[in-house]
Amino acid sequence: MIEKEKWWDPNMSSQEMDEILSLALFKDIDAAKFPVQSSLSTIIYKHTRLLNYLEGEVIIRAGDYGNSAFLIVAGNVGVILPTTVPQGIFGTAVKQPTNWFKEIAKLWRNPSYPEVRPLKQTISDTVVIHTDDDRTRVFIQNFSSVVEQIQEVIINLSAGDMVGEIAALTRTPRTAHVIASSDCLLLEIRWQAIHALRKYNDEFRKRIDALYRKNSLDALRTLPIFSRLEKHEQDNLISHTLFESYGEFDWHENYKDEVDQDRSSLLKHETLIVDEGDYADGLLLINSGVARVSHHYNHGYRIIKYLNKGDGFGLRTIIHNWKNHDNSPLPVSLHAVGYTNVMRVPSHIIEALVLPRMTAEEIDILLVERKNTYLAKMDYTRELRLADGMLDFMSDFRYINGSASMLIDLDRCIRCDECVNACAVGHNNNPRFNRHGRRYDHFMVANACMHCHDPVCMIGCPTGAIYREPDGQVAINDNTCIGCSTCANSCPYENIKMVQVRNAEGEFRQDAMSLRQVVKASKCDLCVGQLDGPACQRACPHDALKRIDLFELSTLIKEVE
Amino acid sequence: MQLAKRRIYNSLLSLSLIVVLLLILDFYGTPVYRMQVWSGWILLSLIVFLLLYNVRKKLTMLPLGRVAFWMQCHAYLGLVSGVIFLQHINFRVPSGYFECLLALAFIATAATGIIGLILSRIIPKFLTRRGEEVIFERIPLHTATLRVQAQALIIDCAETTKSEVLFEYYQQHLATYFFGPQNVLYHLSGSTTPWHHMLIKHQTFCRFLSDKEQEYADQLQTLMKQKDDLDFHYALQGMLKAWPFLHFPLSFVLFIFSLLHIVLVYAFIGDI
Repeated sequence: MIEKEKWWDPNMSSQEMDEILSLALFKDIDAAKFPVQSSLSTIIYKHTRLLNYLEGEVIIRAGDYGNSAFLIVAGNVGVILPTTVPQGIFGTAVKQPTNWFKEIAKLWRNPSYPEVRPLKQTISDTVVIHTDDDRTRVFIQNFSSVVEQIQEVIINLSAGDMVGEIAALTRTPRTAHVIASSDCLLLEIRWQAIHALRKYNDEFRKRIDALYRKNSLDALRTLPIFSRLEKHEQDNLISHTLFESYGEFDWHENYKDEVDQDRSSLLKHETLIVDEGDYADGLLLINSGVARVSHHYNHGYRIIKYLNKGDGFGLRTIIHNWKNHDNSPLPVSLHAVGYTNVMRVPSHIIEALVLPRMTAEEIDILLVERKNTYLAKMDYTRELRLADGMLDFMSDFRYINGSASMLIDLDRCIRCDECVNACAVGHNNNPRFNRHGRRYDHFMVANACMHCHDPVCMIGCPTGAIYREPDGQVAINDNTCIGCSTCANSCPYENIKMVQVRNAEGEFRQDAMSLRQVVKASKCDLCVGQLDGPACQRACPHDALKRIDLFELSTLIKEVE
Repeated sequence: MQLAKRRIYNSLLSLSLIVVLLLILDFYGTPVYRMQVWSGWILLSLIVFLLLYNVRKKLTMLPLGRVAFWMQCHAYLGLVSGVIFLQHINFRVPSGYFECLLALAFIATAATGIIGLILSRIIPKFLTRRGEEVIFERIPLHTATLRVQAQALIIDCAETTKSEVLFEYYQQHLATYFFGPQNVLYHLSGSTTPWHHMLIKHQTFCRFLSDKEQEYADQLQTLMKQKDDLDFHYALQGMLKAWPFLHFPLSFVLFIFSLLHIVLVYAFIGDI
């Protein structure tokens, strides 16, 4: 018997297995190409499940993050681009307008009990949520009339079609809403299965790579060094580009287990992409996730900088080798921090298409950078006037994931808690963070939602209650949160807490059906929907507290100074 | 802007404002009583603005600029008001009981403000470099936790070694120490004398212990150090929290006295 993870459809029958293996996607796959320990049937058994959806049920919401793709086995689904329908129609939150009077009224209107939430009879005007022991389903209310209104913008898919594979592989937001147009049967395929199928099956790899290319096309074309190429040259370059993934998709699970142990245990999970001394066989472009550039220092690696989406690695060495007819190796290493997707443009393509278009001045600048920075093995931390080891601290604990981390300079903080009070005033007297956290030197990264670049908390929310605002803030829609704790369990930094909510009289609210106490996820929302930016930062009288993107070294240096 | 640069920039700006205000007073300030009326009104405006800082702190939900900016204005305009105050009293001790009281209220408010500012620049650095970061309101909870740990250690020692010597030592010398905040004044003055006395006493006591008892005594010493750090945070954080309770009431007293002063001035100004 193959051991299957508890939550992942433990009741799949052999009949269902046969049914899945007979699907068009799998029936022509050469099972012999799969290794014994991860055979095709093992992968399907462990990482797929059949799910039935009812007409009007939401399968995927645009903007959500997910770790699985869906293959349509029977029935029809509709794909709807988010720009073509009104905001909020699929249960995503819509900002409520506020004004000065409403904000001032918080001073006396805020409840005296903790976690008081307004009692709503309906969860949303447009969606309805059904929860049973099996799973939570989200339906569009009055589906047929909604379909009539948006008929012309629905793209219909049927049996054999697949949705969501690129978002699942690259950890990027879903780009469209997917709704069950009729009762249908879908095969949910987890990222592990998609990876394995791509690795051992040529057809599947071609299909995925074609999708990758299509999706990455625009991103590649707009990169400054490629934008000057002719269209046919860009197409040629893209056709030679390889797509690779490094690191652990579920890095947050190991992180939570090991964060309080020795820091080296965290580092061992950082997969090496290319090592110092390797031949520069291509320009590496970060497609998603984060990577760290470092060089060997005694028995370890000393960090130089981080790279994220759109950044490149290896260009300077390629230029050097091309210009000097040399074969110099890479002077620095590149590691995946968490889960990183990389596009590799082969060196010979860069040499043939890109370098001849660069000016002598551009080339000289890059070569000087290579000499002064990378070959000189400069201590970047010192050069940047940061405290020794600060970059390593930010990277090791994955704080570089935060786009709006709460960084407190403890040498300036007078512990007055005005930040906590301001947060409480803005959120019904409930502060959404703890002025406590891991310290490095005189800086503290407080336990407040960091609004991560890679928001693992958003993976798997059954109702899409946790969502990202257009400006990047990650927030929770109270009306659609069902208190399942998925987000709180996923957050590696433990910045989401589950709270029992009360009515205005201070009594704990109970679910009318199950009689269980109502629980909601609670976290910093960066004061989204309020009149001004984050109240904590605004209220700090000594400029000790800043919400900053720790990935951006320039921001960090500015604040540290 | 870097903090050092900001400090220079703000100081220059304040200095310029002082010069401009003094020039205005000099220009319009003849006869002398007119200068005092002008400087009085300027001073009252400054006091009102300084009081508004506290209002701004309460209205954090409104987009009225960062509190840190208001704090900068508060500090530097406080400095400006000090110079205008000296000009207003003509660099002399005021005559009359009420005027003396009013001047004292101003000096006391300004002094508590300056002391508070200095404390808020110095104390955080000490807090950062000693012990764990603790929230002031939770210090009693941490103290209780340490007390429970210490008591459990003593009981465990007595049960394991069948000796009550550590228990008696705890009862005589440490029970009070672990009960609540200790040596607050010493911590405020930066002295570590009580801790060193305690350490010497502890080390002297340890000479008479068995190896097993010594292990417990070492663990107890770690808890004692943690408690000392906690007391340090209690004293210094307490000081940071306490001084505004002196500054705020004094500033309101000053405001009320200033209003009374204006009423009196206009009541008795006569036909001058």
